[in-house]
Amino acid sequence: MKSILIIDDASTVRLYHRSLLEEAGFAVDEAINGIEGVEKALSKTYDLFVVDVNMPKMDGYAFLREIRKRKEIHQAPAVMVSTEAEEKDRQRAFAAGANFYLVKPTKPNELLEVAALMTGGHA
Amino acid sequence: MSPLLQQFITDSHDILERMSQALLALEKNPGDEGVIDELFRAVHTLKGNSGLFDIPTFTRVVHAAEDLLDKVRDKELSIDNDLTDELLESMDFIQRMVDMVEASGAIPDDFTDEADARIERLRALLPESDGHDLVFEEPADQVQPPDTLDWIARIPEAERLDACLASGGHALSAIRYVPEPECFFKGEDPLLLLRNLPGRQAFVISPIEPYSAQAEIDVYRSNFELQALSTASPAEIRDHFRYMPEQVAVYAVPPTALAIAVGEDLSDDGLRDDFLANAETLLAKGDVALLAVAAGAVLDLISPDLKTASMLRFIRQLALAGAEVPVLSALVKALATGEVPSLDIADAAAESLQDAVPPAAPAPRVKSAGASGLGRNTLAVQIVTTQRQLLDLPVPPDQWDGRLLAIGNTLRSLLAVQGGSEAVGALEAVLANCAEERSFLSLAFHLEALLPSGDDDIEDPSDSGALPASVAVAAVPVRSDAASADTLGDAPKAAAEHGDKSARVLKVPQEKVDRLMDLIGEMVVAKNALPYLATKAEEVYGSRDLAREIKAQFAVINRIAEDMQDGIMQVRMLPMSSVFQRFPRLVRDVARQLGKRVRLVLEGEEAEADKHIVESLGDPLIHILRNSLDHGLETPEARRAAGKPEEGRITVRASQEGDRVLIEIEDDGKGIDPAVIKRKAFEKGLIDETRLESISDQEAIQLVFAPGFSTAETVSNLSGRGVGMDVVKNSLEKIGGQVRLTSEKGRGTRIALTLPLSVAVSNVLMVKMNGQRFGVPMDVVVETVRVPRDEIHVIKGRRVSVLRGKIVPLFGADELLSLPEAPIANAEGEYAVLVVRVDGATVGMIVDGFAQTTDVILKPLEGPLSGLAGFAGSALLGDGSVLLVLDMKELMNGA
Repeated sequence: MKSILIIDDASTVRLYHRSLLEEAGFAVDEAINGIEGVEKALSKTYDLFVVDVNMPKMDGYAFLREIRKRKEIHQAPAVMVSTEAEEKDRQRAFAAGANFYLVKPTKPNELLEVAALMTGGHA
Repeated sequence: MSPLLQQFITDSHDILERMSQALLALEKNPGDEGVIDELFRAVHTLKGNSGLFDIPTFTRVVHAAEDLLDKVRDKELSIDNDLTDELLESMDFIQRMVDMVEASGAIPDDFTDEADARIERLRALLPESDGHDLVFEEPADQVQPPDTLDWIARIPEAERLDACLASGGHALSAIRYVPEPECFFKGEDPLLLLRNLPGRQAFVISPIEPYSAQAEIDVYRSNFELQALSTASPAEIRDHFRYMPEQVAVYAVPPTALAIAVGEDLSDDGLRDDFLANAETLLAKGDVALLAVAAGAVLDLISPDLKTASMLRFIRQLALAGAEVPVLSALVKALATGEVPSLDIADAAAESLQDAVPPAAPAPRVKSAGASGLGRNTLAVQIVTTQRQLLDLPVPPDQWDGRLLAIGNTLRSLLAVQGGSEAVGALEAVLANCAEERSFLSLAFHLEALLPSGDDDIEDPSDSGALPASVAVAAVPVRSDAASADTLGDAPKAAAEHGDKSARVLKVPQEKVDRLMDLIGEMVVAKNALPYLATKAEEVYGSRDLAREIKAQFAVINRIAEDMQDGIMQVRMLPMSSVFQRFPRLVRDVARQLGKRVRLVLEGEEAEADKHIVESLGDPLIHILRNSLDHGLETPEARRAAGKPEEGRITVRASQEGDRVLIEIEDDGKGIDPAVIKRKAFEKGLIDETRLESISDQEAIQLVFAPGFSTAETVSNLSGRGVGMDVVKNSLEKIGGQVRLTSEKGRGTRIALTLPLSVAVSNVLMVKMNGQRFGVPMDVVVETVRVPRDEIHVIKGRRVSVLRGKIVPLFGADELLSLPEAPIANAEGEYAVLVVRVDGATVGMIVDGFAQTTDVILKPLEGPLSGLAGFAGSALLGDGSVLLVLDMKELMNGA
């Protein structure tokens, strides 16, 4: 089963993404900020990170830079999800180490297809 | 996890718990039919619940258990140890599956084998003859699309036109939904589903079997099927019907299929022939807009009831909606032949519309798409494009490896799905080369080759995740809050950790709890109406039996209400840490401002009390802490001179003592000098000369709580703002608290607060005065006495009486409350005197008479009434009247 780590401080968004992804057969873990995200990524191998931008303590950009620095973390693809649709926001995400960018609210099919493509299949 | 699934898991735990209790009860008492029924119902519910989710393994095991229990219920099988063991083991297994679902949202495949074994063993326990009964339900037959589109003709033309317009010339989704006859028993609501159908346009309903005479209709069986049109994608529609996929067929219908001409036939129709000739040339030129105009022109001239007009309306609408030429050609042809556009024509048109139909299969099943290359999967192309452009972005050296690995993993996954093993192999070689040369260059070339040339295949590059190819973005500095250390010391951190640990905790908005609390409060009060009723039943209606029954019922309701009260109180309990966590910062800041050194020790933060109490504690405690810092603790120099450590120490300690919570604030400062206090109090006129001589040191210290007392020689910035300890004492007493102060000169001060754990219900004594009732809180009441008129004396213009050897001043309730009539004595010439203890003094209030005591929910006076002194608040009584509750302290101070 492919496992995905959702890093988002909004519990509703986590629930939404989690239910979508779990329904599609992914194993999903959650972290409520970047720090918790890094801790989880250190303790387990994930196939995909779904990363929110604005979070307390450590935001999504800092999280991405942090995991990309760390050799002991499996360098899974990262999708940044953000409410901003502007080009500069995409660029910031990619500069920080994201591999793809989706605009919130994510469309169910889009998220699932991206998750399937970036993890190499479902479940 | 979806709320639905969460609910399922919570329910499952509950049901399994009930089942194991029932099974154990049955083992002791095998014949108990009530328990057997309960057990069967539980397992039945569990099976029904599991059907909502895609966990067939789970459902099958539960189903087998249900079949077994069914036989037990029908007495074809009796409960014995073997059966109980088997069922208990199965339930453990089910429990494990629930845990699995809870943890991961699915049941792993490796559970299947054990499930099969379990089912086998459960089946073995079934009576022989019934073995064949246990054939599992085959999935219901999948509903197929209908053979013809005849049903569309039953939709009124106006609705078909609307649907055509809504389609924008693209294919519509058609739905055939055949609800199961038993659907109503499964909680399905076909009409609601239809009403909420996304993009719903038109629909028709038809009976499956002809309806029988009204009297014979079985209204609990569904006997109809629905045909509907929608602009939503098939995927959206399948999702809408996700709980009954087998009952629904979704298929595409081209808009031409809606163009069924209805109306009068006119054999000789010159205008139609003109239009047909015109239409042919327009369609040849592809001038759809002009075709709409032409159709509109003819429509203006002919009767709208004609069949020709009907078809022209469709041509016009579809042309306006921008339909493609082949679609319009089919309609024009249908107009010429006078026939309904046949399915063949429709299919031909549908083919040209194929692209407009969103992919039906759920996204994760993209494996089948495109055997090699990226195919037409635009998201895949977007992802590869993004990786390609990531290679052009600057990357900090310490993140270079991570970037390459992440891009590599992204592409590896994607190609595994889209490209196959060959493509992955090629990628591996390139990735290895990049790592070796520490350059993205070869990967960039590789991706260029992989991507389709030109932008044709990318639907909308501006909306994709793509970057302009040559953008160079400097790494944007982002503030990291990670390092910002918690300056508040260890206590709040510990508190936060404490909060995080609790796994199965409900987070409920405060308003909900408050509302429940209010309702329970009302319930507690409303139940008090029953004794009134009982009295009425006896005295007015003369039914003593009824009165007794009401009283018995009252006792039951009273007990439940009290339990409810206790329950909600538990819910409202907050740990002291929620106020304590403000202190470290406060103490640190104040100490710094005063140039003092202090260590704050917090203890017993986990002690709990009602939210209202805890929240009301914040300000008084802060005030006490400020006083300690300001007046109690000495400067480091003074401490050194006194032979104490430079760093002062303040301890705040909370603990629970019975039904009260005790909070102590202790400092090791200079303490309170009784001599200073006495002098101050005398100067301010708080005590007179004789008292000055006689007052003990401990009594003198309590004078700091006297109104208007301030010990500070100069009014300091911090604590001396005219708000003294009297305010602290008052606000604590308002919530039923008490304050005790002890101090030893040179050694420190200790303030002990005791507070009730909760405040919800107050016990009040009702007194009568001038035909009204007033409440007096029981905690101030000493006794109620009858004082003969001649034992009331007047000394210095004040009434007093000697009660139990002590002189007690008496006040008339009429004076205190400014009521018009003086208290009335009873027939024996005795006055009713309520003796209360206020601020250590015993005083009496003369009233007309006493009534009973009662529990009330005290609400503070609000609005214009809030300014009234002398009232603790109002309360609603069981008979619906409002009781004003007196604040004896305020009343007596005013006297």
